[in-house]
Amino acid sequence: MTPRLVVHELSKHFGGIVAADGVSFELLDAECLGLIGPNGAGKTTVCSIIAGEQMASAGTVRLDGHDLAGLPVYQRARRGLSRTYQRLEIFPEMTVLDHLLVAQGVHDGATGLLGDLMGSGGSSQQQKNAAEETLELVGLGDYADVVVGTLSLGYCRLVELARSLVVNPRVLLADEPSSGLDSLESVAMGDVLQRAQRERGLSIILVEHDLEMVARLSDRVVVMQSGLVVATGSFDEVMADQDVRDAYLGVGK
Amino acid sequence: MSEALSYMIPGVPFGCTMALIAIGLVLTYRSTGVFNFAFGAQAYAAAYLYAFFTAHGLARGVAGVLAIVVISPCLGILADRLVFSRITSGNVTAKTVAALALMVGLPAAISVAFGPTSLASPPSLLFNVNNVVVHIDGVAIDGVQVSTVLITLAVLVILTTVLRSTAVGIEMRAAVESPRLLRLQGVNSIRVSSIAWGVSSGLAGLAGVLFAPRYAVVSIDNYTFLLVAAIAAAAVVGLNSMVGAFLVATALGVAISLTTGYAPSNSSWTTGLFAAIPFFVLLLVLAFNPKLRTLDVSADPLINAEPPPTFAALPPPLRVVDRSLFITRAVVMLVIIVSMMTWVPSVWVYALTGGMALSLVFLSITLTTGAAGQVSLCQATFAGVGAFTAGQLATHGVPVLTGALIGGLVAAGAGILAALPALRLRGLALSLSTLTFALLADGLVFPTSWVSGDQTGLSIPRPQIGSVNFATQSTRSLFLLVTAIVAAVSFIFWLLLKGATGRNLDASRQSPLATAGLGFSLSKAKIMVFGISAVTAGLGGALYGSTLQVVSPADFSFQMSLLFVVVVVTIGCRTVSGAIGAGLAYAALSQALTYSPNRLAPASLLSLLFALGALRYARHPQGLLEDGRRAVLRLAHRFRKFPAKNSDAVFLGARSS
Repeated sequence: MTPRLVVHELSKHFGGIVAADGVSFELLDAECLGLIGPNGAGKTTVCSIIAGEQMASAGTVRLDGHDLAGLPVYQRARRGLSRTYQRLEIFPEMTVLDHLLVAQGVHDGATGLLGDLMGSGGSSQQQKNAAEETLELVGLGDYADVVVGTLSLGYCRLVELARSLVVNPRVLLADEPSSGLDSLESVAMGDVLQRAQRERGLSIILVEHDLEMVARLSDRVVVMQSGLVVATGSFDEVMADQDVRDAYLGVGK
Repeated sequence: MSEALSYMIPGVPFGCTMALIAIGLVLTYRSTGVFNFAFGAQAYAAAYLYAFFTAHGLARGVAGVLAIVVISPCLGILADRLVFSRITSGNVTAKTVAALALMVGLPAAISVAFGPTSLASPPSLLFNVNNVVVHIDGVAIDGVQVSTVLITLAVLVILTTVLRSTAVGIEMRAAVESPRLLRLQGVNSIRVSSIAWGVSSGLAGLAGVLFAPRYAVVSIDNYTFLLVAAIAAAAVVGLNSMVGAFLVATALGVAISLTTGYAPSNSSWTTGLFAAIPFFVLLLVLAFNPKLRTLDVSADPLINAEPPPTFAALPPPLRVVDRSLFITRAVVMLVIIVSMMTWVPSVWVYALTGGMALSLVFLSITLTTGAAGQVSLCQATFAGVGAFTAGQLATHGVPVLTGALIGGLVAAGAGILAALPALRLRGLALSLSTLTFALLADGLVFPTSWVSGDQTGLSIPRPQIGSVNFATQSTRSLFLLVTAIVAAVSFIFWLLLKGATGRNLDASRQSPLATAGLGFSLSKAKIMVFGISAVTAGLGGALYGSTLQVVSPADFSFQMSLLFVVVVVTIGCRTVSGAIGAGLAYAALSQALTYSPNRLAPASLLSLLFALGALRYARHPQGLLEDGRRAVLRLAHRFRKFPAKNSDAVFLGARSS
């Protein structure tokens, strides 16, 4: 099976600090890959490099066999990379539905001035239907007309996720989706991600500190520490690894 | 060698004066997160008050203490308490607009309070400017120069020591990272912020008083140059080091002094080119210093803990109210047009025709600031490019309306040129970049005779369509023509803003990172926004010029750009009707104020009123027109007798718990 995303020997240096050092992994079709590690391990840096927000010092990222080197964020997004953010990135003055319509409009290339001048710059019924379907998927069906700035953090995270899902991405980079959520909200977020993966055949890179969520969702897990990959395998395998236990519990290093 | 020294040495105290402002900029930015565009205006205010006090017999020392130690810090603390401390740390646009409002409003307030006449240069604070203290290689150094250098060095040493070694210094440095964390540690962040504002404003006052004796009169123009040069110095060190800012400012002062000294005395353009060195430095630094691209990125780990904007206070929209308001506005517009065509005195028709033309320039601000959230400070420059192009083409027989269209296209070129160095910039850095662009146009392009004609200005004739010559017709017919053009352009803008373009720009204003992550090219959008806004401003400038019939560089200076932004955000920068309302309000108020006593400085009073209006932006970014709509909505809800329709939005916040 051709991997959907291949990260090969990815490195990132900030002056003398090594944030990622020769990181390699593959993401298969409809697979959820957990990317875990202690704070400062380099998980978010790897995520940002894959998304194009930071340039790698070395290494390659290939999506569906195409090298993404040199492509800016927006071009990677158009090729099917979608992400949610550890630090919430929403449009607080827009409604929930508008978040999804913006995403669809940009993805479908409805940014032409001519279209607006001809009065066809609005969203099509097909786009609205797809948006409503996605809102139902994440459980926000009743919130379509609510302005997002008035919602609680948990709902905002769901809006962010729905905005990523509505364009049917090839790969979803979910960067700490449970950040700031309580345990019940985390479980609900995990349910939504699982449902999205199951129903849409989504490939997910899940960067997460909530190990219960990682255990429940991930087919395989990559563990990072100090910029290096220290273990790869199923959740149970990596948790049995002494290096991983040391990384999390700080024993012996 | 002595010739070079004779040019270089005066540059050191000049650079030190710039350094005081630069240090103040760094200090305020590092301790409050605000980039205070109003420092030049604060320096001017202190210099003016110092000159006023000494002219009225107060001793130099007492006048200096009053201006520098009492009034300047109080002004800074007031600005912080009343305006800046109420703006959330991540709202860069609001901070920039507030600082611009102060930059416009403070000199205007001085003129309104003390009259429009410029004051003569005051005596120097410590030593007589004519007293030679020392000779260096034959070059005489006077008392003012020596005292300026010594005072600047003393200030630098004291401030650096305080910031590095004292508790309040550490608190000031921590305050910019996260005022919320500081408060959680039990520190009164309001006190810390006030100290920073007081000290930095005192520095601005000191620079103003030290700088004043160098010129014949106390003029705001000199302080604006001082400010931009100081900004360049502060930007070179990434707004991060007071010592670095001092060194760079001093080097800039020497470079300017040296190059202008060697410039041919018969070429004002060459002199202007060398005087523009700080502007070029600023442009280069903005383009190539990656640190400045992340100026707006807050390091506050609790940034998301900031309280959300007050959406819950918004009344839900009601179709019936919006339809009624639309009809009301249409009727008001119709009444204005009919009145203008019949009974309104011609002097008012003339003023409102100019205002209507300016509403095109204001529409350009609706796109840049209202939709895209970028505070561009060179929109008047684009208007000037359009006007001067139309005027020059008219001298070669090109009809003025054709010239206006070509002027718009040339302005679009200028807009794209202005956008190129700003492609990777946003927020504060983009505002600085556009300000520099405007200053370069003001200093090097607009004053030349091949652009703006001779000393009397450049003539732009009234249009002619077929056999209808608007030069021989009354101004009423010109008003109708300009209104028709504005209506057509407004309709295009309305389509753009309600379509995908407006929605995507709205999203990029609220979260550029997320919008790019959806596949939206921010760089292409920036070029598009600058191009469209410049073509609109250029067309508006040409029509405005055709209304005035003679234009000069002063009509399109960077000060006008600042004023225009202030006017539009006061009335409403997010809607097409806001731009048209701003044009008419600006013209009507200007005309009305001509009936006020000259002692009140009507032009300054106008600026002051709009600056006060713009200070509302942080809490009311929607402007007065939208405020009016919301007031009507609240009233409608209070007396509502009709049931809510399903299409009405869910009451905001009702489901947020």
